[in-house]
Amino acid sequence: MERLSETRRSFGRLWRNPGVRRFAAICLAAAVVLMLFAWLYSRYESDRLKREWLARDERLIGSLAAAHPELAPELPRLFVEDGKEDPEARKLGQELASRYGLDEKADSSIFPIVERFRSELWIKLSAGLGLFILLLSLLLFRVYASPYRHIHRLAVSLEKSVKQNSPMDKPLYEDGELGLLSHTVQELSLRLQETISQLHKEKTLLKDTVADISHQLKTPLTSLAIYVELLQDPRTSREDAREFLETCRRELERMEWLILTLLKIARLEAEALEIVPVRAPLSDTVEMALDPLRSVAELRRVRLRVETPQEEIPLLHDPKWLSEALTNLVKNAIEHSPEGGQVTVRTERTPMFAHISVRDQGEGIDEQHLPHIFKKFYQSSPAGSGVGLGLPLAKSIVEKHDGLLSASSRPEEGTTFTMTIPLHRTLPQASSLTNL
Amino acid sequence: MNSIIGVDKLSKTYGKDSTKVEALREVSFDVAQGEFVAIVGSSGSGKSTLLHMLGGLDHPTSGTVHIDGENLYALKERERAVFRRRKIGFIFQSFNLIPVLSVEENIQLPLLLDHRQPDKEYIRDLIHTLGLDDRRRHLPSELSGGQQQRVAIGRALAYRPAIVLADEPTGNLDSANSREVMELLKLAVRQYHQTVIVISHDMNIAAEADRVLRMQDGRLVSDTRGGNRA
Repeated sequence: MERLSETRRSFGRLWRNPGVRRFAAICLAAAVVLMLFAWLYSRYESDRLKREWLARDERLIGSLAAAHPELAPELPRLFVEDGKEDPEARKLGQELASRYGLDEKADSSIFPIVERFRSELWIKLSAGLGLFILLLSLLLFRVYASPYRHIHRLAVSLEKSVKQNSPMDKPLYEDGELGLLSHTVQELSLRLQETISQLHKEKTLLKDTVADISHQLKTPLTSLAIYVELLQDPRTSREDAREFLETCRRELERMEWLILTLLKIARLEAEALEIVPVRAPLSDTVEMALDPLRSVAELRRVRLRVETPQEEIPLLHDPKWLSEALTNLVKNAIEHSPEGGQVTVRTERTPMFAHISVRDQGEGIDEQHLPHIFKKFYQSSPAGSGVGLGLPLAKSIVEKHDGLLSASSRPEEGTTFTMTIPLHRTLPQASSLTNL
Repeated sequence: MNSIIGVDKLSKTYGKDSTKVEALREVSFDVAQGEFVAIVGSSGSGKSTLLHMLGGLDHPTSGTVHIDGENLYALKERERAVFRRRKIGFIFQSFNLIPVLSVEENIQLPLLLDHRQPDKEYIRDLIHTLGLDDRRRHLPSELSGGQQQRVAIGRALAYRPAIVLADEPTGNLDSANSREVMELLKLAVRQYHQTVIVISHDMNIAAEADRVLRMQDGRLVSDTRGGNRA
């Protein structure tokens, strides 16, 4: 599974969150708006200041000109050229002005323009900025509160999912951390539900298996009991006794096989028995599987044919178990073959898989039975000698190798079972949680 | 099992008046989680349109598609894109790999798009399973068709989506590679509890499925369960 690496704090990651993006957008817009207002406002204030300043200068020029008419033409020029730095003039001015307490220490109330400017600036700026910050925080509050709203929604749907044991609905389909969190939580609820339904299924399976076993064992046990009773009867002839004993032996063998196979399947399914994969040539395993069947095949006049490619197929598998699975398939094929028929075992390699197929020339399996043949104790026809455990065992073993066992059949043409085993290990495990 | 896909009276009409084409006419069905479904039909039967609707790639004229309980077309466009990335894996006939990215990068793409750090080990395992160990740094153009489709499947599996939609995944492959692709998809269904929907006109491919939906003239004309899977 992918990692949500916590250590990496990249800006790009953060930027994927819609909240972060909205926050940044609002801040940027606020900065632009603030700058625009500052520009307009400073223009407005400086215009006002200019007008007041002009009025003051005009008043001064007027009153000076009235007092000293001879200076009148010169006066405006002095005011305009105010910018020129003249230290001596400034010094003289300072001396004269300070006599009337007009210096830097003076209270600003004697500068009415400055005083008005200050009080108005303070009121307008504080009101304006206060309003601006209020608006900004209202906008940002929405961004700030949005994750909490989502978290609340998540919590509500998670609670619902816990109570109703259903997958969480309405997750958040968006980029960013909240979206990922909600996705992961939903995944978790899905896995949990899968696990629970898997447990239920297994419980039912166990119940069915126990019922099957007791049923399967009860019949031979009852007949054994009857035969033993008959054998104990002194009136039973020696000839009959021999026949009964033979029947008893057959029944016992059948029971032994049944119990052993059931145990194997149970152990495989409960993972009490691990397969030990080794890389070994597939043809050796095929030989190992066919060896114990040669005499049976001969007895039933069925030819065993093996088709393997020239190049050896090295496969990671447990030869003991896989050959057992194959033995079961071939045995099944022999049992369903007509006399003089042929059973073909074929191995093949494709880039990803090794295929082992077993083809018989029997009567084929009816379409309605095909989906059920791998179920325990399922018998599609009375032809088979088994009790319907060979195929389930083979399937369990193949699945332990992370492979597939499939069957295809055409009536009158025979049946082909195909094992498909991955050459290169399996798909990585989804989660150990769902694989009970 | 609960249904993961619910299609209700889905219709799609292209064009208007005289050029009107009814690609889908009130198609309804459910798919249970973990099912392997094949949709068959001749070209123009509406099967590709249906698959696109299931994947949220096109808007229906009427009707709804529910995936994992979510009404796909009630989501906003942006939400649907995220939904698609996380829940649905696509496999196309023409592979649709990014030509400038390596095998490894192509497989990781859905994760990288979601800003998730791919688990190196998982990706390596996946590439190993796909039998592409010695090709991981190759570009798609350096691979055979079968290999390219395996990369595409790897990409569809990287996010382990709940649903895999495959549009004629074996259309450009020979029979050996086709079988391989189908077997890989079947393994994925089992291993990851995924639901797979495959479009095909090849009956041999369709026979591998648990269930076959047959389309004709925009209608669902048959729905058969069974097949040869146990």
